Amino acid sequence: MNLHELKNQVPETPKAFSEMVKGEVARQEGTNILELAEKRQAMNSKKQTVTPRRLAWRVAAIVLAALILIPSAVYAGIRLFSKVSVEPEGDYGAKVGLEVEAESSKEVTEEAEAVYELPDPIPLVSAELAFIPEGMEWLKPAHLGDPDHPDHRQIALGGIVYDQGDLEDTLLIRDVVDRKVVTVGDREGVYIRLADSYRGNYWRQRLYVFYPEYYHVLEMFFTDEVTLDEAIQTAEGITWTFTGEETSRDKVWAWSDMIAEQVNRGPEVIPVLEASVIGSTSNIQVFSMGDDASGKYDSYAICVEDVQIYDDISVLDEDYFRDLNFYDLADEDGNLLPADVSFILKGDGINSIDTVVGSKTQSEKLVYVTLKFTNTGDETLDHLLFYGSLYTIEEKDGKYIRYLQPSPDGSSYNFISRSNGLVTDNAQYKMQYFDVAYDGYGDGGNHISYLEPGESAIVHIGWIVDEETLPYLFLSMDPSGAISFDQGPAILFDLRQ
Amino acid sequence: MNKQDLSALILDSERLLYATARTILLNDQDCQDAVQETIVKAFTNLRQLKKDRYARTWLVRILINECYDVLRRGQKIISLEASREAQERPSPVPEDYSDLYRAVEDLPEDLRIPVVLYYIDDFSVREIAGMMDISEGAVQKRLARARGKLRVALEGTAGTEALS
Repeated sequence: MNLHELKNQVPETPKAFSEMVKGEVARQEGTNILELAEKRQAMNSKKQTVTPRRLAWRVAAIVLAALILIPSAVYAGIRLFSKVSVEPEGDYGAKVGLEVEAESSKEVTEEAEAVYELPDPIPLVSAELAFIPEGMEWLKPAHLGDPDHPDHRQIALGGIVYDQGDLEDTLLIRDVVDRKVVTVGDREGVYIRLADSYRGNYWRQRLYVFYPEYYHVLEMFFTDEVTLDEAIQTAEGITWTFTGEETSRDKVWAWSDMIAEQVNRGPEVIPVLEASVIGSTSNIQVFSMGDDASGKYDSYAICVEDVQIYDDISVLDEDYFRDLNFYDLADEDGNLLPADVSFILKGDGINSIDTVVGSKTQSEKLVYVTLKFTNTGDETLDHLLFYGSLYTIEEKDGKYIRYLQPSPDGSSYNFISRSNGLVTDNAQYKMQYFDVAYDGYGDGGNHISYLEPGESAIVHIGWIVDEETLPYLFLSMDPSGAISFDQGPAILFDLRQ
Repeated sequence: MNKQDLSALILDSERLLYATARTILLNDQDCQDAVQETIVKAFTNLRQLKKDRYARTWLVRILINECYDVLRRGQKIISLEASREAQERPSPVPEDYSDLYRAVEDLPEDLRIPVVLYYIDDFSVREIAGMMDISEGAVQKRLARARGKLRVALEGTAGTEALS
C-alpha cells in the first residue's frame, strides 16, 4: 500500500465546478468594492435558490409521505404492524430481526411484506427531528452532542435501507449485556446495551426502529450519559420524508449488506498477545544515555541526558499535569501508591465478554527522563513535535522481542488495565507528563515553540510504570508514538535499569 | 499578495479545493457552495494574509471552515443515507474510483481529512495541525490510525499495532 499513489487517483473535478471556480475568480478579480457588494448580494440571492429547493423537497415529501402512509399502514382493509425483534445468541449475543405482521393471518402477512418491497431505484429519505435532548445540539451531520462535553454525551443517527429478503435474516450483535423491546411511538423497537470492554468502548447503547413504509431501519448509537428515555424521545420526534431523489440499490448500504458482511467475516478471531519479534540490530538503532540520535529526525537531534527512577512524584510540576492528575496516584506525602493490575482477556462477544484473567498488586515507579533537542539544520524549527513512548522489550541474540508482563498464573491475556486508570497495551506506556508550557499552538502542547539553528532545548518527560518492567524499558521518540520503520531503521533509546 | 496572485493560486488549486471539500461534504453541489464562498472570503480578506508562503494553507483553512458552515446550515434535516458514514460504515462511491481512494472515502471524517491533506495535497503535519486546530501529535496519531485502517481495508490483515 503506497498512500502517495493517492495523488494520481483523485477524481477529476466536475466540469460545472471548474466553470464556477473560473467564473467566481474572474468576478472577484475584476470588481471594485461597490461591485463586490453587488456580486456578493447576487451570490447570496443565488445561494438562496438552494434553500428553497430543500424546503420544496420538504413540502413535497410530506405530501408524498401522506399518500404512501395510508396504503402501507392498511392493506386489503387489514392493519399492518412492523417491529424489530430480538433473540439471544449464546450468553452475550443478540440477533436483531425485522418483522411485518398483519392483524389476522400469516397469509396476509406474506402479502403485506410484498407491499414494502424495496423499489429500484430507491427513493432517498431524510429525517427531521422535533426533539433534541437538553444540552445537546448538532455537532456534525447525524451527530448530536453536548458541545461542552463532546467526548461523553453523544447520539449518532443512522439509517439502514432494508431490502427484499431482510425479513428472514438477523443481525448479530456481540458483547450484549442488556436487550429489550421498547415502545417508540406507535412502533416496537429494540434497545441493546453493550458490555464494558475495559478500554474506552464509547457507543455502548443502541436503539433500532423499523420504518418499512420508508424502506429504512433507524439505528441510533448513544453513549452512557444519554438515557434510554432521551433516545426514545429523539426517535419518536423523527419525521421521515422522501427527498424526491433516487439512487440505485448497489450504491446504498442495506440491512442485508450488514448481515452478509457478518457472514463473510466469519467467527470473531481474537489475536493472542505474543512476545513477538519487533526487529533486530539490522533495522533498529539503539542509543544509550549521552548519545546524539539524528538522521531520522527532521533537522534535529535527540539525546537522553539523564534517567531517574522515583518512588514519589515530588519532581513533577503540577503546572504540567494534563489528562492525568498525578496526585490521584500518590498518597498525601507524594509517594506513589501500589496499583491493582488486571490482565484482561478479550471475549468473542457471543459466549464470553472481556474478562479479568488475573490480578495482582504492583509497585509503581516514576520514570523521569531528561531529553535534549538540538536543531542541527540551517533554519529555525517552529513547533517541533515530540512524543515519547516507553516500550517493554527483551533483547536476545540480536533480536528485540516484545516483553509481556506475566499474569499471576501464566494465563494469556490481551491487555492490562490498571486501577489508576492507565492501560498498558501492546507492551507500551504512553507519554503522561512533559514540562513544556502550552503556548496556544495546537491542543496537545507537546511541541517546542521554536529552535534556532544550533540551539538546544531541554524537556523532561515522565511515565508511571510497573516496577517489574524497569529492566525492559526502551524509549521511542517517533512523533507517531510507534516504533517506526518508515524512512530507515527505527530508533530506540535504552533506558533499562 | 495581490488579487492577480490570489487568482492564480485559486485556479492552480482547483483540484486541491475540490478534493478537500469532498472529504467533508457529501455531494458536489455542497462542495461548489463551499468553494464559491471560500473564493469570495479569500478576496475580501486578502489583507489579513501576512505572508505569501502561507497562502495555500490559509485558503484551505477558509475552505474547511466553509465546509463546516455548509454542514451546519443543512443540519436540521439529515440524510439517512449519508449518516451511515457517521458510524464508520462504508459509504457508496462511484465505481471508477480506485480501491485505495474508495478505502480513503470510507475512513471516518477525522481521519480522512488529514490523509487527504497530507497525501494528496502535500501539506506538512505542522500545516495540517494549524488548519484543523489540533496538535501535531494528534495529526500524527490520526495519520497512523488511518494507515492502520487502510491496511486492514486493502489487505485484509489484522489491525496494525504500534509495534510493527
